[in-house]
Amino acid sequence: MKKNLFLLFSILLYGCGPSVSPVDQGLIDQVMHIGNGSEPQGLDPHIVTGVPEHHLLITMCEGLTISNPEGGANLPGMAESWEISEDGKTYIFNIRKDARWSNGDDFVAADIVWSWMRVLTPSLGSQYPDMLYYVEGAEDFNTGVITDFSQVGVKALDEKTLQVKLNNPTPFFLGLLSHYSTWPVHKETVLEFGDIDDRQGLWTRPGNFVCNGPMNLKSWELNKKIIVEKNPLYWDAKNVKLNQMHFYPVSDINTEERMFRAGQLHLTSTVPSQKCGVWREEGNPNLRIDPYMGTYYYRANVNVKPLDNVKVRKALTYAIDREKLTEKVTQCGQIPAYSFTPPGAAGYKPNTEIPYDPELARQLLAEAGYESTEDFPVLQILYNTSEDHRKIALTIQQMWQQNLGISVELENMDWKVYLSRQNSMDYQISRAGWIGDYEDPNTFLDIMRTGRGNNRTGWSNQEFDYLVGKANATVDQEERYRLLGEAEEILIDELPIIPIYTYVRSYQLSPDVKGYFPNYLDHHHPKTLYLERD
Amino acid sequence: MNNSSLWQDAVRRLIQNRAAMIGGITILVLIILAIFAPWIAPYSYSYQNLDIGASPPSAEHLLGTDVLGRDLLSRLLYGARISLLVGFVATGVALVIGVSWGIIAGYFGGRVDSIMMRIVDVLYGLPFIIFIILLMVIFGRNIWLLFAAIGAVEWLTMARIVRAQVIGLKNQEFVQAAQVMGVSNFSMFRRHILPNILGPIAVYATLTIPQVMLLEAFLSFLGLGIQPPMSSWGTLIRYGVESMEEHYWLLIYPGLTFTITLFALNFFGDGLRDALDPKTSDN
Amino acid sequence: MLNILIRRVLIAIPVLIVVASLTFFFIRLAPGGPFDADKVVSPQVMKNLNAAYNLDAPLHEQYFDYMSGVIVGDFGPSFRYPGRSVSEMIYTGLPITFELAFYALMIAVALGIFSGVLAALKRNTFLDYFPMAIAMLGICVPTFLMGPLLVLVFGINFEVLPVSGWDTLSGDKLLPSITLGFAYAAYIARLSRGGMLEVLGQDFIRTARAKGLNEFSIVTRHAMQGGLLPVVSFMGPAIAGLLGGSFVVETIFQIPGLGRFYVEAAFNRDYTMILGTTIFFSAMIIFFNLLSDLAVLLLNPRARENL
Repeated sequence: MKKNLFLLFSILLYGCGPSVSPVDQGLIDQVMHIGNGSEPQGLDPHIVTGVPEHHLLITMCEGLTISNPEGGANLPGMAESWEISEDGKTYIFNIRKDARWSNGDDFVAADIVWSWMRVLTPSLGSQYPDMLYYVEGAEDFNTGVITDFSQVGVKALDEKTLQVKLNNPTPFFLGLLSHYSTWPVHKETVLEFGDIDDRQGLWTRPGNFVCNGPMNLKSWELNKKIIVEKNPLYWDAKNVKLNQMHFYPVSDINTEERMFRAGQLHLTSTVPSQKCGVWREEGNPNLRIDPYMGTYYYRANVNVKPLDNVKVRKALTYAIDREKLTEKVTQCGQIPAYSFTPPGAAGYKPNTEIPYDPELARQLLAEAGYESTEDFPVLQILYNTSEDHRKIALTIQQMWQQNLGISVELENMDWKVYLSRQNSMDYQISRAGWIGDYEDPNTFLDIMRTGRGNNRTGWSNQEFDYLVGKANATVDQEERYRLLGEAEEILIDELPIIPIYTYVRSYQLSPDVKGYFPNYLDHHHPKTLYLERD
Repeated sequence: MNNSSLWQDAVRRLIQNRAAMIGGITILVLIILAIFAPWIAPYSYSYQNLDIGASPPSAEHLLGTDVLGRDLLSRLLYGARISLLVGFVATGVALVIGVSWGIIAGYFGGRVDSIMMRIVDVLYGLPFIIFIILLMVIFGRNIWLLFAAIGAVEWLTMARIVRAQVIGLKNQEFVQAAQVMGVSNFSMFRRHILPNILGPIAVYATLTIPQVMLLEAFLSFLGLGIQPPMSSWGTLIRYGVESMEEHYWLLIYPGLTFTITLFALNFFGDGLRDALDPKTSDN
Repeated sequence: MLNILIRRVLIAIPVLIVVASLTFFFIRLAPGGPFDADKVVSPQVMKNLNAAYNLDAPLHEQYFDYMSGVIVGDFGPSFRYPGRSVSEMIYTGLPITFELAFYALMIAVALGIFSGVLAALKRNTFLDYFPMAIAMLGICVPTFLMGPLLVLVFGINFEVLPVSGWDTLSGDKLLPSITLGFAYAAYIARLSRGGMLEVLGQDFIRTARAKGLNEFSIVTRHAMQGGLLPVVSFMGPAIAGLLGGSFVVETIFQIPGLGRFYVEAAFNRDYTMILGTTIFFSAMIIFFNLLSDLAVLLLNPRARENL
């Protein structure tokens, strides 16, 4: 009886199945469907912190400069041109004449001033104010040392001219401006729904949202879908070909993969790792693997025995077969890392080397005083729950156990416990990842300075600090890279961090999508995108 | 009434029940395999062979290997220890607490019942995941603690079922007769109530065991259960689902093992119930 | 009957208060706060964040603030999603989860009782073994396996049903409901079979048969009342399980329900969200347990003193 019902069901359903897939329909309507990984925290560029938020905000708001879709130096955004002083510390931005907000208001230099004041206002609680700390007085304002924003080095000289004064010649400053915390928000709209520092303001809701980018917010169904549609008042609207973009907060990567296969998505946020290896072999045409500015590494707590001994850290580092790990375990085109800063970032090529040499590793261990590995304490690798982290940790556990003869335990913690253990330095080895905020080696080397919040290893080296600091004050790019290269060498010599591989961005892209370029920071401006079928 | 011959009758009926015996023997075999796993498993459960990666069943690896080249047969054998342990221990904990709670609440009724069931309501409402996180953090990763935690959740449902059964039972004549005769409460529970509710309890217990095993898999997947490289059947199935299209053997063998075990448990449980309550048996 | 109902509803209030209070203090014990992130912020910024959400006030003050808000229906802002209030998020997600659980329950009850009663009546025949075997499979096959399997077969292979979403009843609501309900159908089938067998073996049934009553009325009027007792008392835990288990199904099928929010809130340490959803789920579970207890009472009037 149940069997008959089942058959009946299947026959009935066959008749009323889905007809035209969203991808097919999107081709006709120029609507792109995108898997975005998770429900965004919000759409206020001064409050949010994640990557899915970036994918959304880049469609709706625009900063002074925009990332070059094809890589390289930033292109003009709200600022159509700029002049930099000789000493590299003063910038004059000329705001575009036809720049407007999506409600028709003229976009003026004072809008940037007010927006930066907002993001630096302490009571707003922005988690990314340090993007602007390079500006004179910004850090003081954000930490409450000064309370008068006119003392901060950003001024509207007139309606369309903005002046910015920096603490140091910061060669990557223009690149910094493509980070959303530096983007402008519409003052009247924000203030209509709350004070300058109100985190709960409803100005980001559809219907209220006003910004200056190629798209505007059409609808926002919590945990279901966000739709943005073309903004006709955008200064470059004539070059924007897409009519709408639909973002789906799909948190399960296997669900996302099935959605792509069923024609529900044009673009996925990632690729399940066990499928990546198989797809690379069979040559799946939708699979894309792009270089990404990020490093996957393990932190070593240098305040804890036996990791306080640099020879031990070296032994651990040299006992990892990175080639094998990236080829057999992560399987998605990741690149073994022999430096902390990913090579190739804006032409920077670090000089450092990390051999895979188990013999040398064992020798180093012995030299460190551990002749017999029985004396070596059990090491614990801390990582947060994730399939990929688990596989990598298991592999490294095996490698260390086999190559060095030591005992290693794995500690899989949920995300927040993992964070709090790292912050309180209650760990021995911990998995970590760092993605660059802008395209310059400073975004990596800076975090390993003494006392930096993101250092979290307890490592401190005066020479390193000095070199990185000096590089920031140097205008000549070659000299800068030389200094940074030296700093990198110190880092890889002392190894408070154990680099494992350089990230890649892997995703599936429908062949209908044109104008999607690989970008080192994963910034994809919608104005290059359109849908066309060959 | 001679109690010992009643139990003897029950045992006799059980042995005569072929399906139950097959089930029981299967479980016994699995338990033995699990206990002797370290000696019979061809490989260690954590030994990786990255060069071969995920390979289908072959002569060297009877059930194939997983993505890291670990032998599936060995991992299944070791996984049996975790799963069977969690299944029996957690269910046992749930049974003991749940049955006692349910009997007391159901039998006494009134205020006692009200308070006891409201406590159940409160415990039901508390967010389980937070509770587990706290437990893991405060007491560290302890597999026994995990079992206790799982049992501490499952007993709530057991209590409700038992209570309902007891309510249905206590208003029957033989109970009232016993009350009139002045039988003590404890005696009442042991000799009149408990034997008559063993049927549904046995059935529900066999339903709880798979729930418990899968709950353990769920927790491990969220990072709150056993630590890798150790795996239970539940987690093996979970990994299998992920690669079910590429490496089908990673799903089929753990799935099959899990299913067979549960079928066996079920036949045995049914047999137990039939043996203990002849009115519902075939004879 | 009515005053039992009123009494239980009144008792539910202190129960909820206890649940809320215990949860309030529990969640703050778990390491990691709502604003801990991968990119560490300066202590100054962290201080600002905590101040913005009143987390720097003394604990008992926060507690009274929160509870006084709850009484008037204000569950506070979400810590994780600035600009969203907890009430808003619950009102968006709860109806969806509820709908999913409802369809799943309907499927579970219909399939379960039908096959369980049939199996009990046709004991030890094919009509007993086959449904019970399927039921066992249903219990063994977890939702995280059944969901993707159904999707692969019906969504991708045969392309008859959508792979994800939650819009139309005959379309994308079908597979998730089946996935969630099937395991419970299996439980209900086994419970009803067990219960029916208990009752069918009793004397009064034999008497009824000896008197010559027809089988159908024996089953429906005499046996089912007692036989389905375990099923009725299982309804409460079933609803609790469906609401809790909805998380997995919601994740697999990309359904914007409350189950997903609940679990994510726990992992994000979104205190207000955890509290709000705990209170709501708790209230629902209490409500359904009450309904189930009332049903037990209906079937067994002498159980009055237990309510």
